[in-house]
Amino acid sequence: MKEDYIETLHQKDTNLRDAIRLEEEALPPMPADLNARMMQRVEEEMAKKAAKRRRSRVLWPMVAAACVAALIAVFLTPPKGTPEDGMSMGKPVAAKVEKPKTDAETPQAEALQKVSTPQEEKVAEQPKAKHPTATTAQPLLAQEAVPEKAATEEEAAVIELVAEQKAPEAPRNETATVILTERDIPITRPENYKYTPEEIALMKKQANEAYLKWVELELEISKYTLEKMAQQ
Amino acid sequence: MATDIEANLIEGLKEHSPMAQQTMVERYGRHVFNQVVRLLPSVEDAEEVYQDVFLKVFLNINMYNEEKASFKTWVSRIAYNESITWLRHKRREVIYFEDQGGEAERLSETEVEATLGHPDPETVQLIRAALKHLPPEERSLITMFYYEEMSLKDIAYVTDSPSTTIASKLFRTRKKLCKIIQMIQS
Repeated sequence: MKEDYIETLHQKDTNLRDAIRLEEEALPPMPADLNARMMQRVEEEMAKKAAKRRRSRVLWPMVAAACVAALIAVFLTPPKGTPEDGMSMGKPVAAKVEKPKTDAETPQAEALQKVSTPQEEKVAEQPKAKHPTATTAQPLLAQEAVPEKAATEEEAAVIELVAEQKAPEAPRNETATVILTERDIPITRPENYKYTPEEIALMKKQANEAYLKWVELELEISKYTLEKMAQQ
Repeated sequence: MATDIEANLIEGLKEHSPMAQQTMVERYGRHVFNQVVRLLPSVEDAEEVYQDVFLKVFLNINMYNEEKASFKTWVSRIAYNESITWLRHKRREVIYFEDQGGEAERLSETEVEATLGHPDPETVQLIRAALKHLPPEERSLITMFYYEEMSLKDIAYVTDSPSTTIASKLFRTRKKLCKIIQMIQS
């Protein structure tokens, strides 16, 4: 009802209507260049918005592709390997070295590897080098010649065994120079921490030889003193 | 309901056609400028808001729903909101008449009709002087009703208020004007 009454006020409030009309007519005129300025601004804003839309349209596939590539890289990258499995970044060479080793995992092959190291080769060659010294003592002490001969025979057998074991190692050493790793150094190998039976046998023989030489020397000294005393 | 010309114009605006934009500005520019300059204290401010209004119209043309209001009313709504937002943000200090004691409310309808209804050039001048003491929202409200002859429904759409509230505000504004005239006369 109130609203219906309000609708009739148009006709009733003539003074108010005239006053408002006059007020509206007295309003400042619209600047002539306002529309031109406004259209210019509209063009700028539209261009800005279009560029923004274009930029976002061009960028989003690249961003999406980068995200997918990153995800693929994360999932396809193998996990960092442990030193045991030889898959770590720092040990690709170690894996190569270990492969031939695993092929020949028999106890004999292990023994061959141990003997083939340079340090052990020296040890193996030591009795060979000492052999001439032993033979120089032969004319001095004839009765000792027989056991020494036996000893040298045994020694030769050991050396032969070592030589046999060394033979298949030869080509392996050539490759080892290329693919040498820390694990290839004999002293760092856990299996080299204990002496092999061959090494123990060799050391016993060397000890026997040394004892015999000491006895020979003592005999020579006593012989010499006896001769001197006889002369006096 | 939009006429064919208006429908074509809206279609052109949706396609961001510069010709349609130019036509739109020529057709509704004056109306928007008056609405804005009525609410804002200076022409410079009105020019700034005027540009913002049309920019908003061009960018948000797809949001226009012809079932809710005519295109002109929709543009008026944007202009009104932009002006009110500008006034709130700038917080310009302008002194308006406020009926603190409720004296205007106590005026009878007969008194109001006698002041505003009987044709009198002197009263018209007094009303013009009194209009300057009204807050911008109220001044805009009575202008939309008396000068632009908008319906309560359309005014409600423009100001985003219920029609009953608009009716109450119109009654109160009329009484307030009478009170101001009485104060000027005394």
